[in-house]
Amino acid sequence: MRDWLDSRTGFRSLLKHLLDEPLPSGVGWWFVTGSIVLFLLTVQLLTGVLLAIFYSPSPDHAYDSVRFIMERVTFGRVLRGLHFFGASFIVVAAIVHMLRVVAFGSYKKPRELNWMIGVLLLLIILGFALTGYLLPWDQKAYWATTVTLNIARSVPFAGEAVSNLLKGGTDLGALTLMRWYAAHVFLLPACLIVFTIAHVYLMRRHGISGPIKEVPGPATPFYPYHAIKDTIAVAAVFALLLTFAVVFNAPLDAVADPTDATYIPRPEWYFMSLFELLKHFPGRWEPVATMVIPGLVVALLFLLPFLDRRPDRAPTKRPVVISSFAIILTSIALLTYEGFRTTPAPSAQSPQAAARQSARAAGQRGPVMVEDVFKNVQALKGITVDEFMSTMGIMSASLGLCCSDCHPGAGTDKVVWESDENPRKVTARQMVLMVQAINRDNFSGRQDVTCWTCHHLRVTPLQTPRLDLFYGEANTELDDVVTKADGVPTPTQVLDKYLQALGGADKVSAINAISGTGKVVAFGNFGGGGNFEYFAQAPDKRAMLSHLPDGESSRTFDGRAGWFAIPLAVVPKYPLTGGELDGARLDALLSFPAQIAHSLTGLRTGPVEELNGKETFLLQGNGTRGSFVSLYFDRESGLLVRTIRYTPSKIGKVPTQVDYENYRDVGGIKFPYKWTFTWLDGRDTFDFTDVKFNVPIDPAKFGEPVLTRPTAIRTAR
Amino acid sequence: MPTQIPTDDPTRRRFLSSVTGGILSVISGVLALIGGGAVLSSTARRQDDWVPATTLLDLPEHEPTPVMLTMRRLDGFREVIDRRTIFLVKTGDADVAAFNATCTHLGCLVAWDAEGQVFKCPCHGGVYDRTGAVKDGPPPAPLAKVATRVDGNRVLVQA
Repeated sequence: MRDWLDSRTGFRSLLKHLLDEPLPSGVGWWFVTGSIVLFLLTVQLLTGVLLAIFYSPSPDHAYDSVRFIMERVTFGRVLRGLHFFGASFIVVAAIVHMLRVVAFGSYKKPRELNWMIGVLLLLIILGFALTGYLLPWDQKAYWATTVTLNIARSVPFAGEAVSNLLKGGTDLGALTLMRWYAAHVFLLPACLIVFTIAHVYLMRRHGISGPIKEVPGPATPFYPYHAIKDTIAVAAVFALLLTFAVVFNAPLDAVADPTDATYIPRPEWYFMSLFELLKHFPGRWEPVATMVIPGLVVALLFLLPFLDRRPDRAPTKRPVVISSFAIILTSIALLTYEGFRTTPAPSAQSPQAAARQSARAAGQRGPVMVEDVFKNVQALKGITVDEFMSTMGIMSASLGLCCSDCHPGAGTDKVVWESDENPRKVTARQMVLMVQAINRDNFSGRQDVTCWTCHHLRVTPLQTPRLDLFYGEANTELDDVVTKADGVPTPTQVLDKYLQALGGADKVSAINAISGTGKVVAFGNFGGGGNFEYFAQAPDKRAMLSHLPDGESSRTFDGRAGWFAIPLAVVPKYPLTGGELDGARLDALLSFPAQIAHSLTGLRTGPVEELNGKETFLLQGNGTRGSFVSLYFDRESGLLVRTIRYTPSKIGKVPTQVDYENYRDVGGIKFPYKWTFTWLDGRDTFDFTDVKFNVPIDPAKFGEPVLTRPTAIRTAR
Repeated sequence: MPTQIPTDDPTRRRFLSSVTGGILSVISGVLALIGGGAVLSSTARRQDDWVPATTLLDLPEHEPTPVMLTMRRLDGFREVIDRRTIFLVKTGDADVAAFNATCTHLGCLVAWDAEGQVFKCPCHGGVYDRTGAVKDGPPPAPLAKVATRVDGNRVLVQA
């Protein structure tokens, strides 16, 4: 059979020609670098093809398809890990290979063209890294690409055109993703293959350069005498790459959110030096960092064989070349270090980051994800437990339902949360997907449509206009977000009057700690009554600890991390993350009236609102990451009578409302002795009996709550 | 430059060739395992689920009753909603038979003709009796049976 094949193809002579390349004596381990690069390129091509089988290059599906690879495909996590970490490995290997060529003077005549092709291949590899970055369509991908496109805009004269060409339009979107995908899987691989063949061909044509000083001895064939070195080196690199792929997860941030203006992107390490360089050339000098310096470095690399034409190969005889490379590499290393030092990791800024941070503070290895706690979660995967509980609250509050209306046995110890027995649960999943699709397809992903939009406390939304309502009172409900109204006091005036009404700005500003005790009625008496303790420590620590018949109910925030504990709940205790963590921070900051003005941004006074028959001034301000707060001040007395904070969740905003009544004097400062705390899953009433200012508070009060008695599983509502 | 084979050839050459081939085979095997596992994973047939269809109280005795099943199905990374019509026949106190409503001829949906006590296909006149057996027309096979299970009052079908 082999003879027949050989007679038809001549493969034996081809193999002999390929493998029996004579290598000069003294070719050692330094000459394995090229084979390592070639091997890693092969791994990237192979894993890239396998990933392409599952990947969908559209903004609607890209992220989900990458998650599918990570979570559902057999060995998918390892597969993506090989491709992701392989990108870094290949950049390192290519640079090491280039440095070997420089150190050995292998770029010199007659190998000038091969050196130039090598530089081109390095640029193609960086092109792969750049275009591959966008494909997962997560926050990191989106915002890093936004920066890249803005860098492209700094090209003199043609910047806008270049940026639009890369985007495929005027905005970063579907056309950009498809364009970069096409470049990543068609254009760049084609270029890579062509230039790699040319590189190897020219290497064979001129032979390898060999050691700097000729080593006396016979030439040896490449196979197997050098091939064994290549193979061992390749095996070591592959073992390391596989270890990375198995041990570490290739990162996948939250899905791209073009509205999240707070996200600060941080590029991969190999582009960090360019990213840092940009910071040193602001404004009109930007092109120096984006075009001139990188352009000069690339031009010098290309022209190196023509700038250094002397035949000497020993590094000691080429001090200018060697020191130039040393300076450039040191500069890149320093810029990279500085970039990492000064740019916080995206994971330290996003809601997921806050989740991780709070979880770390809570002594856990990671945020408590909904999949870690509940079975059979489908439409609301990938969010934390507290956000998940908020989404449940939004649904029940919008439809006017209890947990047990969808979850059989909720409210008893026989509840089976994962059961799909009740068709409402299946419908709820469909509705979540439908609403997400509506918002995605019609409102650029903004949550303009939510459960409440249609349901308004009904299971089935109304279809027909009610004529008596149409010809009755106009609906004057305000939007969630209000804008500055005319004819109302400024926020400063409203807050000044509030501080004055409390007892004067000086006295109020002197408060740095509040302790209170009293009686609580939990869940509208469903949870029974008990005692509570309230603590607040300026600037941002707060704890509300209720001692109920069934156990402890706690909301705590220690300035960094927050916790929520509730007796007989689905999950008795969990760390706060994302929007709820931001909400807890806002609650803590707003505990001190003198801090309101600088705790919120974009303060505006909305129209006069009537609340319980009294006119109020509505002040609204923004927190972080999409959260905001409405504060209602009695027009006559100037006192705060209600706050509603809104925090984002996967299916809509989560409102939490506190009503303040019964202001009494405490050492010359007024304090509301009755609070009604209303949230999506219940309503608690707090009646203070004792309030003290500026007394020492045990810091442990603000930390993770300790559950004092065993809890059974029951509905949280 | 002529190739000069070292003096310890061919034993050394054979040994080095074997080691090289062995290492490359292991690397190829690992990559093939990862790639093969990934490619084959999505082709594996998923475990069918038991889906609640109705309750015994809602089924008349011995009268085929059409029920539309709504099922979630994962289509790769997407979740799609499938709807399928089946006929349930209560054959005893706690026994229920189920037939797929799809005609085995060309895939139209059959309907129960209460007057004639047969299933009729509107497309090419296929006729099945209440057990799903072909009575007349071109269908090559009886209506496909669907596994059922009664759990308390609930009727579950395997979808």
